[in-house]
Amino acid sequence: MRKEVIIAIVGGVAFGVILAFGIWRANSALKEDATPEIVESEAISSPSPTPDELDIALAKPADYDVLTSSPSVITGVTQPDSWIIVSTDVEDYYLRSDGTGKFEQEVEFIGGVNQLIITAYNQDGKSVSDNLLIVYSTEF
Amino acid sequence: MTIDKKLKLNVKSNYLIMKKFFVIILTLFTILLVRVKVLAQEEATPEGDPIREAVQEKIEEAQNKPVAYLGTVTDIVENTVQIKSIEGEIKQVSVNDDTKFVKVNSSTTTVNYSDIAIGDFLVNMGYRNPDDVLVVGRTLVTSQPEKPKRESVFGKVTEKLNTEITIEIKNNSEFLTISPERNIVVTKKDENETIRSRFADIEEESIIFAVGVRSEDSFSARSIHIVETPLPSENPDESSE
Repeated sequence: MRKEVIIAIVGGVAFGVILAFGIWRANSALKEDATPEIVESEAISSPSPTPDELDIALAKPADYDVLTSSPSVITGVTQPDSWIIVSTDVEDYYLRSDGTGKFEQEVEFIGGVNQLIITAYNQDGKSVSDNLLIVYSTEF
Repeated sequence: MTIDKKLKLNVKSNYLIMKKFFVIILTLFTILLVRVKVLAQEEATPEGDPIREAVQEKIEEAQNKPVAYLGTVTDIVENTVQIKSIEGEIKQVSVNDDTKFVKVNSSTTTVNYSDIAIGDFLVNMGYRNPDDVLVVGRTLVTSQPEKPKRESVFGKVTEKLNTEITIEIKNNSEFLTISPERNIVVTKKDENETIRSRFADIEEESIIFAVGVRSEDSFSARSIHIVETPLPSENPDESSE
């Protein structure tokens, strides 16, 4: 075999190895970059308070939502087995969160602006409240 | 054939072999590059898609969900109204020919856009555009809602009279006298069902929640929920002895 052929083969193999290494590094870097994004998005999508801290995270409706039907369901999450009071302008609902901390209650709204106070109490009597302003209109 | 001719032929054949070799190598590299590009796209798709889809879904949901902008009118320019929200934030709403304006006080009357003036309190209902301007479908001209004064308390009944009860608030040992509003709603749990009860049925040692308005040292309750009632003593004779 001629010298040029051997040089070309060695050069080709070296180039191939460099290219493969580059691709492998690029793939690794892309995967590393993608991982925290996924973790972050998961953290945003599931705001579940840990059992030690008393907090309320309302899933729906959101503050300043416009509702076109009543009754409508309020859902959220807090400490497991807590007492929840959903207090609307005209009525109060007493309920408990389940073993995972989830709660939901069907609530009647009055036409116009509704100001709700949602309070969670744990077994020690500690409480936390969240206010919710909802506009209810059948004409919208 | 002379030696010179043989050499020339040999050089030509080597040149052709080298040319073929380089063509093969180049073809292989081209195939490899195309394959790598396709693989990279295939790998990127399953990782990027759920996030992109979720973000897209959230954006669409936010744009398709009706929301309300509440606030006092601070400026009116053609079809745009600037309001100052309850939180003190400046927001803009855009009205069009389809926007309905309703004045709500003791009665409800339809009004025109030209009737809206600086200082009016508006409840604007519509859809947010990408610039965060609310495209309004319906506007209520009303008074600013007051912040609710009601609050809830949780505690054990320590004293019971005909028209009021005293509770010891859980967690801070404060004593609070609770008097019922005229239309008070009293409830309690019966197995898995919430049933109606009466203020007169609340016993000492019961654990209760109450919602109402607190004044200096008393609490006017509009609803009470009995969480726990004291267990009846098993042997009344023993206790009387």
